[in-house]
Amino acid sequence: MTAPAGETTPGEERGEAELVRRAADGDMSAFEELVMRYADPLFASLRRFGLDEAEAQEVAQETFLRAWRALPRFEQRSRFYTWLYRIGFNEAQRRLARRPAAGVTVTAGEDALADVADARPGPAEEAEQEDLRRALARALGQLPPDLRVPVVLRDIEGLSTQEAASLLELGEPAFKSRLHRGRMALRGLLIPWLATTEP
Amino acid sequence: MSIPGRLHGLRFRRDHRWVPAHASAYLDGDLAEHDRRRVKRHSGECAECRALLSSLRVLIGALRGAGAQAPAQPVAGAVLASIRGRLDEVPRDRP
Repeated sequence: MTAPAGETTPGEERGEAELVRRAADGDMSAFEELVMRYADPLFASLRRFGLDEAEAQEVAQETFLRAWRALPRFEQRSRFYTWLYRIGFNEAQRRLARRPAAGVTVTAGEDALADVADARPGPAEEAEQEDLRRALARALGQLPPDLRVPVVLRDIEGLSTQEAASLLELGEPAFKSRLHRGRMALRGLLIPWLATTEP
Repeated sequence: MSIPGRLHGLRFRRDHRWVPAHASAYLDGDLAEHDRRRVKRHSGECAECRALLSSLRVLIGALRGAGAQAPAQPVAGAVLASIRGRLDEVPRDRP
């Protein structure tokens, strides 16, 4: 997976595989190390799926508890974080599905992107980036989930088309079609902003 | 209008419908070479499609930038504290 937490060196991967093996065997301290390693990127992803802060924390907790339960069956055919991310994504979808239809995403989108640290550029750039982040968050919040989720998975989370399509249980052509429609819808909502920032 | 001029007009209108529908595939590198050339040729002579591609490129870049940012408030410690006492109670699946 190319999601933010997916970038590791071969040495780190070997270390992770050992931690996962120990955790699968019941070693809680190994599992706690995995929690400390992956809770923050998982939380960030959950926020971007549209959960508010409290929901994202609850879902992160639930995700790790489910992972602890299922780890003995995890065969390490994929990276641990890829497996964990899938559990988290499914939990987030369940949580979002329980919300009333109206307002499912708007508030969540509002600060899901705004509530992040950046690399601290100059004041003018910072203000511009902040404006963009807020505009993006608002626009994402206005998209229906079937268009928003493909954009979040592919463009924000950085999953490959294959990974994102698989997560949504869609064929790649159907996924690409939704992704394009989502991007075009976002573009429509952000035209004034995009027009002023075109190179 | 000459025949080549009319053919060019037909091709332009056909590509003007085709390019927006394939803009994401173009930007994601998913098009075959002859289709890439088709997008390049048309956007070279169509300001509207050029603007569309440019704005989508900016949008995708902004979305990817948002994904690279770290959460402002780390929650790992809080998540760990909340589940630490509960791990013992979770029944574990069989291998």
